Amino acid sequence: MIRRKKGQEEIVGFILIVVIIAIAFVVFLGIKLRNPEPAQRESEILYQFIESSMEQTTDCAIRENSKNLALNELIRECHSFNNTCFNGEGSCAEAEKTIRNILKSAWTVGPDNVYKGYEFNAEYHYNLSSEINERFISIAEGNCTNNFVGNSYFIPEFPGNIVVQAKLCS
Amino acid sequence: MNLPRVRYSSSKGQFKIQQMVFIIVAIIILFGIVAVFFVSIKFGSLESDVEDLRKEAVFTQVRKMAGTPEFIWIASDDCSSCVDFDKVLMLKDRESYKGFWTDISLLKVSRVYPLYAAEECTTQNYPECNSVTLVNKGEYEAYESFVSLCRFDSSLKQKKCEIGKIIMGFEGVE
Repeated sequence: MIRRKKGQEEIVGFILIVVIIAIAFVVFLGIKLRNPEPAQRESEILYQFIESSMEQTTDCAIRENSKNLALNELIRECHSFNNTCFNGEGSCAEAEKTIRNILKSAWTVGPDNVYKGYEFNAEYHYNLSSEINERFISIAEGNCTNNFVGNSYFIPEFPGNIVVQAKLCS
Repeated sequence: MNLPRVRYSSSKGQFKIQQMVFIIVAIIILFGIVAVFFVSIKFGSLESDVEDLRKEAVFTQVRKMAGTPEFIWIASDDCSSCVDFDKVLMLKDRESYKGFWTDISLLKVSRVYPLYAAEECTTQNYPECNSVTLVNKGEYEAYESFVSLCRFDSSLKQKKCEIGKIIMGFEGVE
């Protein structure tokens, strides 16, 4: 009778260990799946996209008979001076309009497409380690979750850099 | 010689060993299942990651085409992504360039923004057209890379660049 009771205790102990391990595993898995870390991967094609779009000639010339600015020059102008273009449009508004048009032409996004959405930001970083970043252009379209590819492009602007970032969400 | 026969009562010990073995086996199986589950989650995306990396490498190769003497925009100080769109149009239908790009089934330069009504460029509709096809041999797997299509604009009296793509198709890419 005593021997049987001892055996039962051992089985109960074993089951208890298994149950504790199982609960710990389920809790770990739950936390892991509920808060997945943003899965950003660097994308070569996105870098090529940003680099090429920065050369786009815009409709903005600051003065009469001055040259039309390239998009990277217009972004710089928007951040540093925010002057009005000769056509009456603000430099930031003109930059945003050009970026929106380029994005719309280059990437088709939506719930039924490969890419569900995109984001495009331009920030001023005083230095690379600086936590204080000044975002002055922000464009988003569609639905961006934690699964995306992205890349950045640097435009030097003393004393720091303008960082242009693009994300494509799938 | 007759040795005395001794009987050991070993059933209790055997039972204990059996119990221990069962527990060890059960724990190993449990941890095995957990490990398999973890590994399958961890490496589930490995195949698609490899595919993505391979594609990125091809995109880079396609982009290198923009740096070849036939495509490159040399009037600018520093623009590695700039393609001379005028030069590309001139290459079209040029007899001396027939068969120049061997192993390429498709070679096309297209404008991304802004788009015009005319799709294929000719000397009549240029620059208000969208693409110049230099090679088109039928079946291929196409890869594209973003570039800047630059030309001298006579109305602006300056260079004008627009975002475009170089599209290259290869036959039988595995």
